[in-house]
Amino acid sequence: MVVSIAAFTVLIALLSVALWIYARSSANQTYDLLLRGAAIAMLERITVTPEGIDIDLPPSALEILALDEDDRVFYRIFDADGKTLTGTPDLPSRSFIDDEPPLQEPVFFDSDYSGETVRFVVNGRTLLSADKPQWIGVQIGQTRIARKAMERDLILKSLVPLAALSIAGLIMARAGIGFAMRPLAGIERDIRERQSGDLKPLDAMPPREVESLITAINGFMRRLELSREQAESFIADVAHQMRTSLAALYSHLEAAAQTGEAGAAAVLRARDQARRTTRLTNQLLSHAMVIHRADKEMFEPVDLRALVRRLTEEIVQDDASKDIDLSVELPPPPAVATVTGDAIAIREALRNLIDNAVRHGPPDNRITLRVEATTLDGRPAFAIGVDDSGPGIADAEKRKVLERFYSNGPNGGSGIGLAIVAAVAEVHKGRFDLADRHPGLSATITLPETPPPDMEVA
Amino acid sequence: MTGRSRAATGAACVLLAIMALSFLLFEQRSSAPERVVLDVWSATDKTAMSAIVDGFTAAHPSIAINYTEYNTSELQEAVLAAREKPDLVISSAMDLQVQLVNLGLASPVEDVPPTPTWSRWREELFGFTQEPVALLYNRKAFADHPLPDTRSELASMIRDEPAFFNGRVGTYDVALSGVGYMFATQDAQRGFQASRLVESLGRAKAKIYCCTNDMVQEVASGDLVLAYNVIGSYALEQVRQDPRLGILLLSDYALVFTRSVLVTKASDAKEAAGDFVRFLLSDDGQALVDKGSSLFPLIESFGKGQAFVESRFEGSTSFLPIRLRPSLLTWLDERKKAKFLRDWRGSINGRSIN
Repeated sequence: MVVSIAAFTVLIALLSVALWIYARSSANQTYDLLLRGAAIAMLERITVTPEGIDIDLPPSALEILALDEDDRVFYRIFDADGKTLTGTPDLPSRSFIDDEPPLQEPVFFDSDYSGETVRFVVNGRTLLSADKPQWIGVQIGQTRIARKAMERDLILKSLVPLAALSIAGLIMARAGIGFAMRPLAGIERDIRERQSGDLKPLDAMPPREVESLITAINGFMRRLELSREQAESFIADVAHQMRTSLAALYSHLEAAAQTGEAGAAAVLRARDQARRTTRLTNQLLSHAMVIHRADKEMFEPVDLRALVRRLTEEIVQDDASKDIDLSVELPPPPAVATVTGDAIAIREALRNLIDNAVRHGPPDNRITLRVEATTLDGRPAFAIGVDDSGPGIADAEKRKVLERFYSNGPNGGSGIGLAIVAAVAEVHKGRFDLADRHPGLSATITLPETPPPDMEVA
Repeated sequence: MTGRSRAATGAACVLLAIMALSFLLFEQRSSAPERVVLDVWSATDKTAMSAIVDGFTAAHPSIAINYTEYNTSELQEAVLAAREKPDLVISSAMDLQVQLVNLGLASPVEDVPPTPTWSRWREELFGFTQEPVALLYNRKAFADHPLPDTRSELASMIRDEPAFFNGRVGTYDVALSGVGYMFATQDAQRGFQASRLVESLGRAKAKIYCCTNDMVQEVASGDLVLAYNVIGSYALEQVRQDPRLGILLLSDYALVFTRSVLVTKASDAKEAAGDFVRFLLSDDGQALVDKGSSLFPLIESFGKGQAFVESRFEGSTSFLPIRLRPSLLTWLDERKKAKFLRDWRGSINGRSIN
């Protein structure tokens, strides 16, 4: 506020100075015309006669100057030597006039004379006579009363409305901002007074300027609520799964207290159960991470070629013990295979697909990892597919396996892997398809090269 | 005056009263305030001004007037030369008064009653009369002779009837009389008829005079049939008393001049001098100008317009006031004046000799 007032003051001061300069020069220009007219009138009536220079002062000259009412006037007519021929001899001069007498154009200057500042004009004319040309000068002075009055008038007439306008503008701007921001105060109160769980949309009628802000806040609250609901159901599911899994582990361990073969078998079962629980925990964390990352804007160009290569190296290392035939099909080298997305989430999705293929496949499993260019809803996209030679999934099951904690088959996993893949596909506005290959299953995640423009960043 | 300054003035007055009272009681001093003496230098008949001066001193008993009379050109020289300047300068020579103001010798006076703009300048110089310039004629001579209506007609008459006019017309000697010079120059400035008229006057061997009164005497006696450019107010007084005299305003125009007053910058009694100026233009002062002198008051005649003057003169005309402005200075220019006088003399003498 202080800064804006200071800036305003400086602005007004600058304007005032500019106005003053303008007013002064305007007043001078206007009244200089009178002086010049008077000088011309005087010069016109100076003639050369056989008896010498004849000066017939025209009444019009001083009449012109009397057009402004209150100014005193002074004049003299002088020759090239500066000798006064008629008029007041002691008028102040200027050295440049004395130095260069054959002046033909009017020269104006201010000088103190007779107790006041007086505006003078000096103008000259060369008279042609029989023997030689003679230069004659006229100096006319006028006090500055009319000029000052005009200056004041111009400044007042422009500065006062300007200042009034500026002040009115300032007041109206402040009032306008206050008026426009009033709904925001209501919104602020609304938000402040809410319970922490209350995520109802704001019902304020916002001014047009902040409408989009309110819409964005409401959209954000809607997503927040959605995500909270998801998190709640996820936590409930996780709690249930963990409890079940741990309960199973506990009962196996209890059975392991028996002696003999039954005890040994129970220990093995307990170990299996512990491994499943660990895997379940990892999967849950992975799923949570994918969901969590989807909340943030982490999209960047992802080179699928490099991602797939690193992933296969990892799998070959991890599953070195198993006998897996893993082949990779990439687009021919000059083509790039890049999508805008979350590299870690995509990697996680592929990892899960491959794990599934490994787990459900027969001993002589053939797994193929494909990356190929395609289109999705008319936009360029890449399909990343994992084919195996396992039993496949019955059509009736295909939808269910995408749900969390749905597991089938003897080698059923945690029931969370395909849910992760589906979530990743959704986050990227892509799609996830399961298709039978008879035999075998083809799981394909299709990701657009760039997210659709209307995509809301979730 | 704002409320605060009024209150301050009131307080000051009370304080002054207490001080005055204490002086009376304890110091045994005279209660009469110090008398202010105003030096008035004037180029206007003392008889015309005396009623005004008396009226002023009656209204302002603490102010005395020291009245000195000059003729107009003497007055100018005296004011310029004086080491101790007068407080007030009054003159019928408008050009010389304007010159004094233009030299910066005058001081502004506040709160002077409103008057026409042509009759005041810079709030330093104030006209207080309005006096037309007229044609005075002998009624008997013009009994069976038509009166001229315009300057053009007058010039033609004088030219066409030398027997009637020769040696029997009069006007101001412009070299001798300041107002005569002013009237002649204003005539010259207003129109080409002026030079024709002066030539006609010259051809008719016009007599020239220093003063309006001399012309009035000669017209009354019948030595002159008419006198051109007389001061209407002076002449009118005689016309009213003397049935032989007639006074006429030519219909093309009538010059109007004003007597003016200024307070000098050097005055050490500016307030009292300002009181005098304000008095001159007050209703009381103007009434005194009207009744107590032969001059015409400015404000009343201005208020009534033409009617005031036309009720007193024959003929009807448009008035051309001579403005109290620096344009009058043109005719004070030495070269200009010398040239004008040379030409005028040439017209009035040279050709009549031929």
